[in-house]
Amino acid sequence: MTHGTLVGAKLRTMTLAGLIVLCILAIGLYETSYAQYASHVQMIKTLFQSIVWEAFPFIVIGVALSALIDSFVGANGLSALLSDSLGGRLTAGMLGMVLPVCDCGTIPVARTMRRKGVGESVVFTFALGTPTVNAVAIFSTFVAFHQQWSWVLWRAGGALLIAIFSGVIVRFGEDALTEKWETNALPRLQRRGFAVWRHVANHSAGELFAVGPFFVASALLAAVAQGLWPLHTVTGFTQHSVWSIFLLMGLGSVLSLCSEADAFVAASLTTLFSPGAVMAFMLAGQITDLRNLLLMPQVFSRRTVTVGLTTAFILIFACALLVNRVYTGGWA
Amino acid sequence: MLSERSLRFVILIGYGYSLLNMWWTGAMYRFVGAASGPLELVGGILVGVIAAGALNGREAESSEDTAGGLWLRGVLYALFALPPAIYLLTMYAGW
Repeated sequence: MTHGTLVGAKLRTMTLAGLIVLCILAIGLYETSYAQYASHVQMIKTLFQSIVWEAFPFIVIGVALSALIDSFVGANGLSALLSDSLGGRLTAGMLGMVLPVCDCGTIPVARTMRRKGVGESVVFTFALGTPTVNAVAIFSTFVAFHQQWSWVLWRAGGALLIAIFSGVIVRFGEDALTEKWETNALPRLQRRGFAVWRHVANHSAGELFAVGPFFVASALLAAVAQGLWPLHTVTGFTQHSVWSIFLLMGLGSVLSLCSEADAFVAASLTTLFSPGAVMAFMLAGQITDLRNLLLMPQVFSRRTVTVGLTTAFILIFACALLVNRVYTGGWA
Repeated sequence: MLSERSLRFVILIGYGYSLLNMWWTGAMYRFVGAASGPLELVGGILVGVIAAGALNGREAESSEDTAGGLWLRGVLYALFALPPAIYLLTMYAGW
């Protein structure tokens, strides 16, 4: 399982394991009888399976599309579209509509674009926007939130604006960059016939095993939290318009869930957390996530990563506050 | 001892069988909405195709053989195998 998506795997696995252990300890304190315990276990099992089985087809379709793109689409054609203009940035942010790679596949594509000579700030916009503003993620959000277009529009619109604005901020200092990427064409492996399809299957399986375990663990965590959380003791915090946002931004960033699956975990958290916090979970999980923090320095300069992700973090928080304002009618 | 490729194949087939079984028996209505039916079917078929294709592949072998890496991989494989294991145990063992 040597794969880019396994970056930070140890930290993410340990965080998830720690959170699940904490939940189990909380259950131990919360339960009063064996019968209650057994019924709660059944409830968690059903919730867990609901989250997993609803999201899994989207993950499979996503990794298959990503593998097809990896095998059949060259970077040259894409790079020509991405000029250093507002139109180019808008195209970069929305490229996911025709190139539905999740965040697991974005960095390798971004790296290829940089090698092909596309501007750093434009590629940065692509890297931030594509995981969320893509056809599969949009459809999965639509299904996860029970056909509510408002969630889809907030999520995709917010991510697009954040990606473009962060790219523009990064652009201000781009001329001073001394680092230039070579623009030589990349050597592409030549595969024909059955070998291409075998590569597609291998690539898909590799991505599934890189993404799947973290999704399963977070679905388990969401099911435990939803089923057993002592609501009366934490509702004041989890429904708070500001603290709940910080909490779920942190959780989303650490979990770094695949954009095709995170909406299902997020939807299961809507009963516990404020709407803005749930939105922040979905945005931060794709934009300021741990995997991006560890992988982006391979593609972008340190200044771009620092300035761009800090800007994105502030914008995600502002967007989440706005969502809370719209859905709950208050700022705090 | 199963090779890593065989282990992957078994887990993927577990997912494919579970998806198709819950679609065929109607058990999916306990977990997902009726609108997700076609998606479950497509997902089940697709994961079966991926499993079959990846079984013959030569690119899946890993080179990370440190003790920590092996332990982590084992945990991740076990986690990923959890959903089909729970579903199949529930279906066939009444767990």
